[in-house]
Amino acid sequence: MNAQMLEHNEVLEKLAAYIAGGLFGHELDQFESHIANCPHCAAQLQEARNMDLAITQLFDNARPIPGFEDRVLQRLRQPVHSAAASWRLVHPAVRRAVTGIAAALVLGAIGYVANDLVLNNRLPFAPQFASTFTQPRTLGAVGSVSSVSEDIDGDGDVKFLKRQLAESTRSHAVPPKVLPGISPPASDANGLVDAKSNVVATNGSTVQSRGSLQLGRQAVPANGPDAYYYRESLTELSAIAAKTDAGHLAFGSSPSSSNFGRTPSSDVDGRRATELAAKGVPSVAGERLVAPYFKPADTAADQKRTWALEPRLGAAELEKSAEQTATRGKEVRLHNGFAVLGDAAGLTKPENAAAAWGEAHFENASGNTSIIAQNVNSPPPPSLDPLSAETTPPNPTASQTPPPNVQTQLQLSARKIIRNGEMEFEVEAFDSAAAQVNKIVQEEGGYVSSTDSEKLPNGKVKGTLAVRVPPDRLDTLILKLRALGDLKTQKIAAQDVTKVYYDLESELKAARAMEERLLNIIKTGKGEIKDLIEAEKQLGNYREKIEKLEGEVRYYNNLVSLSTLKITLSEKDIKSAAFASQSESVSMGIETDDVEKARADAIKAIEEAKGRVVESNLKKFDAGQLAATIVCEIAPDASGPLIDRLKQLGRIARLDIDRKQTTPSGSTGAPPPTRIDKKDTRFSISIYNLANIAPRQTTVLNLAVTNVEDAYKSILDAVKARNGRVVSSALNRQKPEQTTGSISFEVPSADADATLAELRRERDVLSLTVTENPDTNNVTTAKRGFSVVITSLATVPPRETETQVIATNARVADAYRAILDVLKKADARILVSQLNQQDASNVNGQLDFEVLRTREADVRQAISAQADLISRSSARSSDAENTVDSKIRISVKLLSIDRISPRETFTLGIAAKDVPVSYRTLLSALHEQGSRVIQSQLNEQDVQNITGLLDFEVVREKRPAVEKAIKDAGFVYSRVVAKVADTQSSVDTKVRIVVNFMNLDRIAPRETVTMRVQVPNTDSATATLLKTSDSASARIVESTQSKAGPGESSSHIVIECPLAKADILRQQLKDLGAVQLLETARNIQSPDGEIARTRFDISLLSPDVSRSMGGAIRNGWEVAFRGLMYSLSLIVIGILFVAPWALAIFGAVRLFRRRKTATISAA
Amino acid sequence: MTETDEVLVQRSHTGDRAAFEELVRRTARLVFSRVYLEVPNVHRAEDLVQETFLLAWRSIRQVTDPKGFRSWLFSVAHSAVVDSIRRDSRKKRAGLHAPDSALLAVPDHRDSPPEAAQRTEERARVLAILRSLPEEYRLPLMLRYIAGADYETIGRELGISNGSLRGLLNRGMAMLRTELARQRV
Repeated sequence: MNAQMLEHNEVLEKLAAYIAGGLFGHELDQFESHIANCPHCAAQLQEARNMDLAITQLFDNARPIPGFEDRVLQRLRQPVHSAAASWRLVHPAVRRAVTGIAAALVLGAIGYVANDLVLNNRLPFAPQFASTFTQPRTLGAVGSVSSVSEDIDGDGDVKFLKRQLAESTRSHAVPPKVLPGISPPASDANGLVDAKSNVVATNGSTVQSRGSLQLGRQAVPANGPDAYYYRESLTELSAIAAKTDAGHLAFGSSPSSSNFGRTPSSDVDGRRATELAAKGVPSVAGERLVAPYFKPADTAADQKRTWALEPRLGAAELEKSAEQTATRGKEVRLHNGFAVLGDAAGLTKPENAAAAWGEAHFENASGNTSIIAQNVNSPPPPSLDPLSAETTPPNPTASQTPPPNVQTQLQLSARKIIRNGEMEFEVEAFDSAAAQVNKIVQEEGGYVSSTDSEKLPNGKVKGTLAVRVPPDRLDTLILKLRALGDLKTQKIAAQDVTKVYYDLESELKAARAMEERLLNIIKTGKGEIKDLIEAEKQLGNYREKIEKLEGEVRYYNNLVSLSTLKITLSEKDIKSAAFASQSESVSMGIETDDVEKARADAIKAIEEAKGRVVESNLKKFDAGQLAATIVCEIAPDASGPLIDRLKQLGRIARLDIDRKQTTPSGSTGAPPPTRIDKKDTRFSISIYNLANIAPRQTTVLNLAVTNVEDAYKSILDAVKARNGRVVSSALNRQKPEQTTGSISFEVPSADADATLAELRRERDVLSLTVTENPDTNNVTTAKRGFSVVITSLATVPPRETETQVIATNARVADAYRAILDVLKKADARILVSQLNQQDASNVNGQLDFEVLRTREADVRQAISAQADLISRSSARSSDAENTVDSKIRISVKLLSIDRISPRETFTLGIAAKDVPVSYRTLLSALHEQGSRVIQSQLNEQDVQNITGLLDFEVVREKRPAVEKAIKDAGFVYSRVVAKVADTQSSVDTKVRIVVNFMNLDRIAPRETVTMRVQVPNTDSATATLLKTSDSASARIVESTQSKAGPGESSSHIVIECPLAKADILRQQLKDLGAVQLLETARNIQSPDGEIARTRFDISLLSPDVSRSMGGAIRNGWEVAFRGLMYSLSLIVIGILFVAPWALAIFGAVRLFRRRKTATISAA
Repeated sequence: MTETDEVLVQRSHTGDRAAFEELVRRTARLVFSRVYLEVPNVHRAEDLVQETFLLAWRSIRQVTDPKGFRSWLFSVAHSAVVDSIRRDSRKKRAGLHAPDSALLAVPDHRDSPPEAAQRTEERARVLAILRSLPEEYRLPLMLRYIAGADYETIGRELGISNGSLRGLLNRGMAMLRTELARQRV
């Protein structure tokens, strides 16, 4: 049972295998026997078999078709022929990547192209206004013409268009066949403008001009005869233009076309014309005619006249047209006239044009004529005026009309005009001039009606001639008379008496008619006696009236028939004096001791000379002064001897003889008078003595003396000794120093110079002025005056002032006292003396004094012995009046020398091994040398960087010792010597030294060597390096070892060694391994010499494999990334450019397909 | 014939086409059944099998461990299937109906429509059960029913011994049976 159970399980396990046919031999037999015996298992088998069968059936047709493996193999063996299949074989991921890259590349390429196009503005749809406008063919120049006229009342864009047009016409001729489309038929004016413009613009051949002419016809609607005329005129005009165009192709197109369209007046006129035309102007027919035609004609004339007629139509051409005008008759003249009008209104004479016009079209229209004339005459646009003036051609019809002056004469003959004239001449001689006048007048058919002359007192003649000549000869007469002499004035008057004359004449006629009638009445004797008597009476009245009227008429006839010219002749210089009177006056001053005698002698002498004493007096003043004056008159001939006699009376101080000629008119004109009246000579004699006469010369002296009183006395004595006269003297003494004295005296001239010399001797003359009185009555040279002012020398400032600053080595107070003593000994005048002692270190003294020049040297010597001179300034005042040179003022400022900075400052940099020691050594040395230490500091905050500062002053003599001490203290690596400018207050006797201490190691190396050495083993190399550096007395500044990975290590060492030993070290370093980098930099600023060092910046590297590769990779990355960025930008462009297209195409294809399918389905 | 799979794989590495062909013979039905599990269409499955072996031949060198050749082959087949499905779906999206699919839509001529529908339904159910089974039990069953392989072929395809195949087959069938029974209930 147990075994059976076991077998049971075994069989069940093999069930599936049995079904699948996987049991063989013994197993199969065993299984089958079991199944046969065991119904349970058989049921199981059956069930399993059922399921198996069911499922097998289920997948019956899902099974591979027989020969499956062979097919697979067949397929495998087939060579990959199709591209798609081979593509298929590529790994999908690779495929995708390749596709993506390809897409990116395509997009990028598209993007690049698109970008390029956009940037270079080559896209087909980019705005290209400029290029369009520069291609007038596409736009059509004429098209723009029409737009010009249509938009003429627009604004800015018109101008723009016009410019465009101008430009286009400059380069391209306007094709004429396009023209007919131009003008809107509503506006005649516009059409005209266009037509003209085009004629103007077309600088091409005749054909073109004709084309525009045709246009003119088409453009203008036929609105009555007006239009007809207009067209005709246009035709003519165009014909001329065409002809001239053909004949004279030379005319410059560019200036003309540039003028055209820019001329603002043409715009204006065109517009005006347009407006007028649009309105239709409901006014007189003539005006309406004129308005649309003439205005645009003006407009055209703007352009046409300038270059259409003037340069092209030569004189010959114009003459030809003139001939035509003459010969062709009415019609031709009309055309021509109009052509001239339309072509160049205002070119020809307005009357002619108007006449031609009027004659041609308005047979009975004088009114119209006037209107046209008015229009033509009426001021055309201002810009036209100069043009028309310029270009006016010779008037062709001028010769046909009578000359204007004949006309005027005809008119004048009917008029009654009285012409009178007045002329005034200045002539050489009256008589000859009068004769000449007579002759001339006779020549001219006139006569001299009256002569009236007068001789003036000075022999000159003046006269007036009245001349009568026929009026028509008056002008020639006047011209002839011009030769007479200087024409002074001329007056020609004309009086029109026509009205009065004809009134008189008609009155006369009436009176005569009346007389006739009365006579007839009387002759026939009809009527009553009473009536006859009455008639007789009336006849008498009328006769009287007739006589009177006839007289008047005659009078007028006379006046009118002969002009009256009044000629005034006057001889030259008519106003010159006829005679002159000469008077002489003599004024004398006589100095004499005896005035009374001299006076008596003088009077006697006058009487002897038969003179007449007019006035005489004698005055006696104080101080024995006498003065006499005599005024007398004497015959001119006797005046000379009298003067000689008077001269003997004494010394002649002055003698003035004044002779004067006067004419009655007061003038002293050039021509010498004919006669001279000599009048009596008038003498004015002054006799006086010298007592109170002021000296001619006065010397004013300003003296400065030490002792005023002594000087005063000595001067007075000197004056007395020289017979001088003291006029005034004063001595004023308030304080000893302010004493002043003044003396005024006179000495005889002979002694004057000696006196002056004595005054000047040993005295300071502050000022000396010599005044000379004017040479008048009351001065004399016999004596000399002196006015002396004496002042104390103390009150006078010295001319020279000196300011000194001195510095003493010793105590200030001592030096001050010593100087003061010296000053006292030298009699110096001390003005200020003070000694300030604010604190012990700041003592100064001030001494202001004045000392005589004689003692100056002593004082100076004493001062310089006491102290050094720091600064000195000397001021000399200008040589003014009140300074003296005999003394000098010195202002001394005394200082301690410590207050003065030395002139020279040394700034030294010292490098020491041990800063504190060096510092102390130097400091003690300085104390020994007695130098003044200003600042000293030692900074030991940072042990590595100890610095010190010593700032001191030392006397120049001790400097070498100090320098030696400094040298001992350390190595001087920098030295700056500063010398202040000599102007500053500084002394040269001491120097200032600033010493900066510094650690030797802190000095920057002179040379820096950067090395990168590849060594097999960094550790051993480092060790070697350190060992060798010891031998080269080098110092290791920094040392870093690092290990990056297995076999990769580096070492960074910084070594400093003396410059001298650097080469050894460098060689040793080179021996270490392969030198990859060697850089040597020299720092010139760091000190050279024994402390100069070299710094080695060494990198020791183990052989490095990855480095170069890493660099390459990094480089690759970088390049790739950059490329990626660039590609991205291009891709974005591509996408943005392509995507819309793709979308659109996709959509279109979709739509198309859908429609197609729809139609198919519908079908 | 006597050479093991490992040796054949090694030889294929060196570019020995015969060795690879032998490998193809040994694994073609396995791959087929595997592909059919995911693409229940004989023709497409066959195409895919062909494609799979083409790919495998090109990249046979990728196989580092010869023992894992079958699993590697499965992965290649899988990616081929996925690719194919993706392509189909793309085609479907593009609206380009492949003629194959149209043909596939034509029902089997041997069965009347209701029967066919029932069979299709049944087949899908069994396939779903098969898919849910563990790989080791599923493969022998698939080889047996889908690839129609006999016992010996199954063993060769799977490269396993008779004894282990017997156990796998037995247990797999038992599982299939229970699952089918459970679903029927």
